[in-house]
Amino acid sequence: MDCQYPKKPKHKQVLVIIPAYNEEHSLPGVIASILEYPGIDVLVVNDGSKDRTSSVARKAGASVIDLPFNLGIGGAVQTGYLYASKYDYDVAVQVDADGQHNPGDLFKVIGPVLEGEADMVVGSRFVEFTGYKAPMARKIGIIIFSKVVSLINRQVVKDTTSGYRAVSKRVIRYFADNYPTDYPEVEALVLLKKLGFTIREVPVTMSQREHGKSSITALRSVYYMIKVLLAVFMNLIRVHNKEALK
Amino acid sequence: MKTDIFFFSAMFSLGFLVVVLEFVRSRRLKEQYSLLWLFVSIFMIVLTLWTDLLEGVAERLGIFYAPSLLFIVGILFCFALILHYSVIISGLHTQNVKLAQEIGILNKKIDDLNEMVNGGNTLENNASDSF
Repeated sequence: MDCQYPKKPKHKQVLVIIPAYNEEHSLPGVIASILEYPGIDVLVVNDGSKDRTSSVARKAGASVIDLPFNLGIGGAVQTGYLYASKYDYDVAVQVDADGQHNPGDLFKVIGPVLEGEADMVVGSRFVEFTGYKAPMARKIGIIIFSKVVSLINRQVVKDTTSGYRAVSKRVIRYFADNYPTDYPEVEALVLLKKLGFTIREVPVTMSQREHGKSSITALRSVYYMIKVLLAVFMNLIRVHNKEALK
Repeated sequence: MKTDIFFFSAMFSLGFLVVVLEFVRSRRLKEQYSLLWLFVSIFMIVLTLWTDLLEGVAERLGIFYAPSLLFIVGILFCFALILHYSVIISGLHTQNVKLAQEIGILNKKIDDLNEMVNGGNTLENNASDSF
């Protein structure tokens, strides 16, 4: 897909959701580079940060929701979807606060959703070679998730853990009420596919983290692996209420 | 009646039943959460007083020492109760998250309204401080 600066459809409202926990260093840069694009609203969900995340984000020009305590990534992101649903946005995009998602790819990710070609678009590191290098352990985890999700969804999904994703209004509405907690990215893919939403992956470039460490430490990765796989399989044997999608 | 294990179990269960009923009466325990406790108490009382039943069942199950059937029944009920609470906690957790999210959004709305009304130059209102 061509990724020139796109025509922003006049009547479509786009919300960028940035979940942030103690990201005062990288956040201003991320917000500034997204606000370069006109007509996009930026919402930072401050997930009970202990630093100046909230004030820094306000100063940079974002709207900020301060959660009263730390909910974790799932709860924080869902707050964004709840907000997007209440304010009737057409497209919502998740972008990480740590600066590893390139705002230059924003319209690559939003594009297919704006055009109505997909309900969810995932910005992927692995669709084509984009220069991303991952540590070995993470690589294995990423491959396992990819195989499992691809098998279940009967559609190849390479980068299941990418948090760079755009969704349509129907998905916003659904996520406002149903969003996985803890490590939600992988589970969300299986959930949406099962509900009949269309998913597409587009290649993006990701940089190494600017500040801080990934939330996935060595010890947690085992829990991560088991929790996500359990959640994915539970979704398979769960009856989902498709009425909610109307 | 002899003061054996059956007697102690029966007395304990009876006392337990009274305490549970008292908690419900004084509204310290909600009716819906008291049902399992009441059921356990009554079941244990029946099992301890009706010794023939206990011994009959123990024999059928191949348990040589009948009072150990009491232990296993008690432990199994504990498992059931704990699981029951895990389910309740999960429900509370979901509600808790939802409340936090709504509070966050409401606070933002208040801030926005405040800014609209006061031109944003009064009331140093930091949402996270208002709790």
